[in-house]
Amino acid sequence: MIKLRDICRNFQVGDETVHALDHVTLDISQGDYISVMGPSGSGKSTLLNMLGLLDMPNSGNYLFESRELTTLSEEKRARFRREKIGFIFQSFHLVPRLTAAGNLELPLMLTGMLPAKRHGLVQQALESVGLEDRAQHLPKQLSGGQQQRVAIARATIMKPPLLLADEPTGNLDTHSGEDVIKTLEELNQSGITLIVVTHDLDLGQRARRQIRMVDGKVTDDIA
Amino acid sequence: MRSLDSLNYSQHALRSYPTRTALILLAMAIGVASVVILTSLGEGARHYVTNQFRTLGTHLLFILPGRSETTGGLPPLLGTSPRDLTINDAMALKQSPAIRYVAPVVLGAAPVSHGSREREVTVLGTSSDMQPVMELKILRGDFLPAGNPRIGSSVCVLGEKLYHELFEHRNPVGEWLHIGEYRYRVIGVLGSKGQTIGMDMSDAIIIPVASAQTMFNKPSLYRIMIKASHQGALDRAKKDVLRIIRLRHEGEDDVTVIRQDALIGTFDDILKTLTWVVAGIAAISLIVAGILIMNVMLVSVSQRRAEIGLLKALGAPTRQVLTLFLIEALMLSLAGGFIGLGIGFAGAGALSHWLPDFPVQIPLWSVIAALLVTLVTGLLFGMIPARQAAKLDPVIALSGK
Repeated sequence: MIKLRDICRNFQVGDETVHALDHVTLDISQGDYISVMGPSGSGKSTLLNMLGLLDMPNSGNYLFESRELTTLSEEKRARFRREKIGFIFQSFHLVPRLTAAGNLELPLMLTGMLPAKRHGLVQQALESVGLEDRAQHLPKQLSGGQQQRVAIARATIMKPPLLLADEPTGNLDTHSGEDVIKTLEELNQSGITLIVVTHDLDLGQRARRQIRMVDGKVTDDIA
Repeated sequence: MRSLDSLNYSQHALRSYPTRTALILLAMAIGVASVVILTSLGEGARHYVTNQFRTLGTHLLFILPGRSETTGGLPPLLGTSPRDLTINDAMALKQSPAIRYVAPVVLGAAPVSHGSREREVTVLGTSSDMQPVMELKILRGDFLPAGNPRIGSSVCVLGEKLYHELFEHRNPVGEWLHIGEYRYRVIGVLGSKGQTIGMDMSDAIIIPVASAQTMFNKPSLYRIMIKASHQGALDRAKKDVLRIIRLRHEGEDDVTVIRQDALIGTFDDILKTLTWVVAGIAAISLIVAGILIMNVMLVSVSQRRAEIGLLKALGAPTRQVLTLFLIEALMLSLAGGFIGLGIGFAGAGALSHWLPDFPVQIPLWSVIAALLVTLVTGLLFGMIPARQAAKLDPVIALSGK
């Protein structure tokens, strides 16, 4: 599904060049469940941003379903993200003034979908994460676990083949974290490719494939 | 994103910061209201002045002694001609078929007294033709009798205000009063004419022109007022005036003839320019409001970096983010503009109520111009923050750095 070939991403910090990704090569198959671990500054999040087309490599190739993505225009990258990639963030990133339903509608609105069709999909998505009775609640009226479940519903409402999660349980207590992970694993079992960046060893070890990064290089890739 | 969704999203964002939004709306509204009220005052002044000239009558010509040597300058109001304008000159003008009435004018000031009451008033020496020329109404009695203007007589016509002051409500017709050291018999009282070109007819006294020349020892006329037979005859009348006076003044063109409509046109132009200048000054406040919009939108972009990053992560292209923030700026400026129009119309209404004699009018162009400037201000000053939002790197925006 995804082929990364010799990907490099460098940042200039003062006079020094930081190699956030240093000749990374990876193959990811449809339905994979991958955890990416490593110390801070190892390049985990940069890899995730690269996979999510939020960042672009300085060199190398990124093929998604055999399509080269490094040459896409900004507009086409945005469209690709909209249709193929779902993001889950540590701090949820829900729009605070919008209700749970309003936050779920956002990706659908960006496609130009009509309101009547959107409402049906939003209802389904809320039911899938068990929050149908919280549709009109603002994020501040929801618990951390509920907020993250709204974020998962938002990330998957377009039914993307790839789900990228950056420390999805980082801001949650153990119980809520477990709920969120279970939801993500259920989504993976339904066929979505799931890539989770985490510092949490227990969470990382639940993945079927574990990648370890150090100084921008993939040092371990255990399936 | 559909247009309606974009509008809805932006208005939702504005409503989530009510104080900030209200302050910007207020600033924009004050700017627009200033434009509307100040231009309505300017336009009112223009109508007031032109109406003052129109109250003089229609299709008039004014003949002043002395010649304006340069075009476009003011006429020689004080008259520095080597030859005087005389009553004979005025009478000679009646030869022209294009001229219907000729009213010679001598102006002066003198104390008028009746009984124990005395005051200084403007004395207007003229002939019976002045009544149709200035379309004067008579409240009591008659106007100056028709006859040879070269021959004076001791009769006078009072302005309405002067009549009330000297005679209260008694009938003054037939009564005698003193103008300076001369005795005059009141033959009539003018109806309300009000102020015309700086002279309050209700506070004046009218006597035969020859009597005024004797009273003020002035052989020359202050000016001659002419009413053409009709509007189309004005050009012909002007030519005839110049021709007749040249013949009488040994071939010299030593008078200035001013058409009433030209005079109105000149004042109209001056006051129009003044209105534009006032509108321009008021428009500066709109630009200040625009800068405020830019400032607030920049703060908004800075506070909503995570939201912008999220929109990009969800697949919003740069153009979409730009559009959303631009819509916010436009909504602020236009809503402020419409509120300002409301305040402006209410203010103009209040002015009309307080100043019933002053024709406060909101010109349509000022409404359109204020809204256009508002729109352009919103676009211009909204563009910088919107571009900043659109160019934001989603990775940095989402990281909260």
